[in-house]
Amino acid sequence: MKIVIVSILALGFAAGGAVAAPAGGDPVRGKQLYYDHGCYGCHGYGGQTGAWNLVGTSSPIVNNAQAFLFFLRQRGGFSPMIPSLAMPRFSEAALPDAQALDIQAYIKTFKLDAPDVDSIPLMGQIEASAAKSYDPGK
Amino acid sequence: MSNDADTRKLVGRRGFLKGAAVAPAAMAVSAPELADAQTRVAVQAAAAASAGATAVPAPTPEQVARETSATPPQTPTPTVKVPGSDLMVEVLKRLGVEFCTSNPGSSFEALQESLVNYGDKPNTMPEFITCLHEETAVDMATGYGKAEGKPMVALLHGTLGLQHASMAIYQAYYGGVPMVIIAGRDDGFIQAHTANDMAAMVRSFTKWDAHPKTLPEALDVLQEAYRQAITAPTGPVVVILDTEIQKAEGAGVAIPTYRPPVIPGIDAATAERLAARLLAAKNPRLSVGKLRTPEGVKNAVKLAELVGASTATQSTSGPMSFPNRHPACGPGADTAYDFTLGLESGPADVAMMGPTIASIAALRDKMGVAFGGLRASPAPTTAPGGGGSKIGEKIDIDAEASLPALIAVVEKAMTPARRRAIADRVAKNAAANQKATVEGVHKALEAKRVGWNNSPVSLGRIYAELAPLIENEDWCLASPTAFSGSHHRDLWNHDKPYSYLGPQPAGGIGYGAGASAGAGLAARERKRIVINIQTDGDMNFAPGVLWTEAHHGLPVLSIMHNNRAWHQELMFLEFMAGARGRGTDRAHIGSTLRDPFIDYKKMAEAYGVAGEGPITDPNELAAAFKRGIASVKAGKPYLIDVITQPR
Repeated sequence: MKIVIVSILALGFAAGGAVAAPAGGDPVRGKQLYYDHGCYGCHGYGGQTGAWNLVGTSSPIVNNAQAFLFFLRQRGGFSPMIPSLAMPRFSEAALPDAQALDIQAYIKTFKLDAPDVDSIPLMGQIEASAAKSYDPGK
Repeated sequence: MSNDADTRKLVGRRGFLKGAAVAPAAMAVSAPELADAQTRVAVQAAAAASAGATAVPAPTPEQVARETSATPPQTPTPTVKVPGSDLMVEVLKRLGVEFCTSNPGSSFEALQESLVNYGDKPNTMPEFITCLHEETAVDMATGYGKAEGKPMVALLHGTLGLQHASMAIYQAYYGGVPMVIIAGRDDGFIQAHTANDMAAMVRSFTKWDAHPKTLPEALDVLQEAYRQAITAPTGPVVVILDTEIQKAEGAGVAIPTYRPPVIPGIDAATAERLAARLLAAKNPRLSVGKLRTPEGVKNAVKLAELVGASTATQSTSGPMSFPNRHPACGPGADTAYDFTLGLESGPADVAMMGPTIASIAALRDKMGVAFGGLRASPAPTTAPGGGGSKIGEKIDIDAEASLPALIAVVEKAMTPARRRAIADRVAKNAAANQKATVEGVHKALEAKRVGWNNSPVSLGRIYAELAPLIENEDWCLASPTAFSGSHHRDLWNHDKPYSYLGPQPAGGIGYGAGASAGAGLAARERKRIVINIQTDGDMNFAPGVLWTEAHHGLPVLSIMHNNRAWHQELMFLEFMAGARGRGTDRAHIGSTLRDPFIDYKKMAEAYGVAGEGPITDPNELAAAFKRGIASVKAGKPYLIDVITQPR
């Protein structure tokens, strides 16, 4: 899947020719836009729950401004006959570049919250329970 | 005229409705048969109306006095020695019906009076469970039926109660959940509450219905309804009981002897053939779907242990399947299976699959509604609700009813040499399956650690925090879990037929709270606890169920999955707006529960349920869950409001 996305992005840049590198966004404004546009709906309030993890990835979609904008504009530009949980398309009219980059700036402030399994006692308990012999009488 | 107006005001709404309602019925009989004064007045009114007059005759002074309580009401003369409704309750007692959920209605006061007063231990077997909405009454019967694999009664009021309950009945039908629905019918009181063919409203999504005309027939019908409900395809059935029959003289009327249904299983030759294949296989497997009752699960375990088969289960997707951490459950030591037997499931070389609701849907759907999902399937080997593809030979027979015969043949054919070979296979499979379980749990925890300390709380953490707290409890997870990530599937030990009751049978929201309370009925009698991961959208359809939980002491721990939205719809709307290039910043309109946020702790308190929250710090979950579990173990429902990540 990653290969496909990167290929599409490459084609998109080629088709678009020389594009000026967008300026960086404002994470403060981005926080409100992340909420207003419902990004939290699929990505969680911290970008690491739900459908797609936005944190700790090297994906250019998250890390590169042009890739981010291209991804928002080009994806999902169709209207399926059944409801879809796929990521929406964000047109420039609905989400101008500057606002989109504000959102990207906010996304980049997310910190990965994923402690090691071994460091969480509760997880050790769950693993120990799974390793127990089956007790049909319990 | 002014006198008439004044008098009508005194009569009030109730008296007016009563008089008006009687009129049409009264016209069908001769006047001398109508004894009471009010009915005579109604006949006069009807006669006047038919003559073109517009005035309504004034009530008699006695009627006015009765309605306004100016004088004591007339003492009714006892008319029967043994109320017919007592005999109806006796039938239910002998059938072992534990509960009757209901919201009171004027078409069954006789039956309700018998339920609460008749017998050595009145209001037991069945116990009258007070509901605040008929949809709740039926959802509770669904939760109970899923947990126990047997029916209870939902008692509904005429046309109105049936209509209130109709969505829940529809879901029970889709899920093949056994229950007996009784609808009262009073043709002489409020006309708008009655109908000639009452059951027609729900006929296209109930398995069977009947409208007995005499008391003896009613007693037979109640027994037949029970048989129909528990016979494959199991499902909701409806009995219409007229008030006249409920109030009829029962002296001298005998209660018929109950004959359990005979549910066909495989014949002797088929049992021999399948047993031979299982015993000849070097690496047999059972693919276990949803069976009807706990007895079926018990026999599936027995067969797997006897022949040393590894098994596939659906227990993490719904009730009445194979325990998921039994040593036989899992891929086994060798995944090259040489014979797979399906029990209501595929894939399999041979699968026994009993009739489902889909097989009778067209027969019951006389109006031709053709509900999606119940239409005739072009793929006859597809098993609704379970794996269905790749079935070599499908035997159209109820698997649960077939297991005793199959087990008997296997036991008879067992030899010491076979036992040794099977014991060796069982040990290898057990080791492999436990390894797979441990690896699966570790992999799941690796995924769930992401967002572990997030606030709002991650849903994986809710299930993880609950895992050790319920490990040594007898628990039932009653709510659907798809929206909250179904994290129990890989973290919890589903070792009972009722461990997880599965999704909304027809995907209808508003089901979870009622189903959990119904599971609470079963749990209260059996010292188990119910876990309800309660989505906020679902809770708000009929939150009065919380009062029912408090009033009846149901051990239900409700943990709010409070994402302040009908979140799936929010995402659908976002995609639609994006596809049209109009942006997603208004998609919250109509799909979120904000401005204001709902305070579920206060909601619970209003209905008499203790609770706490809202919790936003995941480190507070464990202590709250411990308090909740302690409460429900003491017979008191508890609600914990947790502000969660959306998914």
